[in-house]
Amino acid sequence: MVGSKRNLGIGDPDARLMLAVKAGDREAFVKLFESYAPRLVGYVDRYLQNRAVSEEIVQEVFLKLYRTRKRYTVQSRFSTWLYRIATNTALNAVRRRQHQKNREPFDEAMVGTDTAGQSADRIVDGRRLEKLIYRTIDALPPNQRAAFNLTRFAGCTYLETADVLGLSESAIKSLVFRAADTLRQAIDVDERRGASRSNTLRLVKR
Amino acid sequence: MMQDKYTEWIVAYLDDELGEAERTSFEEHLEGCASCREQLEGLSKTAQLVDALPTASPSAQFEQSSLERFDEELFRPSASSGRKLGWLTGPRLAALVGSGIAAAVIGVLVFSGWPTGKPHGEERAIADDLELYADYEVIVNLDLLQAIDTMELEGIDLVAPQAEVEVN
Ligand SMILES: [Zn+2]
Repeated sequence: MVGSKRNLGIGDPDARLMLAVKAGDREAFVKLFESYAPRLVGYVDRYLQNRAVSEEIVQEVFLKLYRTRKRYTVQSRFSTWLYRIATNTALNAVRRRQHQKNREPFDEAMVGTDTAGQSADRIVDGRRLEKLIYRTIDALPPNQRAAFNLTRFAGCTYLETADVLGLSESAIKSLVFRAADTLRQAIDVDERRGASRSNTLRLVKR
Repeated sequence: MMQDKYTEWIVAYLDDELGEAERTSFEEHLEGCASCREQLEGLSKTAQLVDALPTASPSAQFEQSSLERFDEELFRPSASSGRKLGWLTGPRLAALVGSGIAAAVIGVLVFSGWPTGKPHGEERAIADDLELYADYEVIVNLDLLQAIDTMELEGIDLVAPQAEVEVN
């Protein structure tokens, strides 16, 4: 997300496209989809860690975007509106999935795909670390998780994140810190455990 | 590890999200606080690890299949009318029952079926009333985006972004 004038959609070209969508313009809708969907898949995947599921959720986000188009006003930036729907939808999907007894297995194919040139133990360590990070993020309270994912993975500033979540910037500051601190501790514990198990683990040499 | 009022600023500092004055006073504090320095180092390493995680990108057929789905569900109204009736079942139906309006919509659906083709006369009047609900997931989405999410996602107070609900 770029630009950070709070609540200002004026001058936002995507806001203009969204106004066309509001009037039922399919082409404008397709344009918005094409420009946002790829990165939204990346963003939503941080919640679901499964590409196929994330793709379906992004489709649902755009279905919702269209079906609630009349509620959009230029007072909010388009990306704020979109990321709010995406965050809600992703968190709801996470919640639904957590309610299911048999959770889908962690999608192995989605992690550590860019492994060319890495030694085997590095790959194993890297994947283990990724799983640890995702497991820890998975266990965060939804508000911390949303603030963390928006700032780290959607490229939102704290102000934009505040707009998306309807919170103050100082609340975001605090949520992001707590999320990062929880991760730091999890990685710390894991490292110390790893070090006592074997001193050949290379977790953070990147 | 020790926590002071500056501890919570560490990540914001790393993200370059502190204001000028905040940053200055944070850096001054850092010089004299070993605990914050240590946590800064740990959190900086954490941020690097997290930022280095691979990002998923959509599959090759994602765009095409999405556009087909949108045409099917959004831009081809006659094709979606049957689907809409099917959609009104189970938990969603239960979710809609509660409200009198929903009951009225359901009543119309039950007794006259979902209007197909161009309505006229009395049917037209009903359809005009239903215009609001022609895409009646909007009803559910009002819930979804306001009530359900706000109540069920504890902690996140997701209010509609200054948007007035426009129905025209
Ligand atoms: Zn300190």
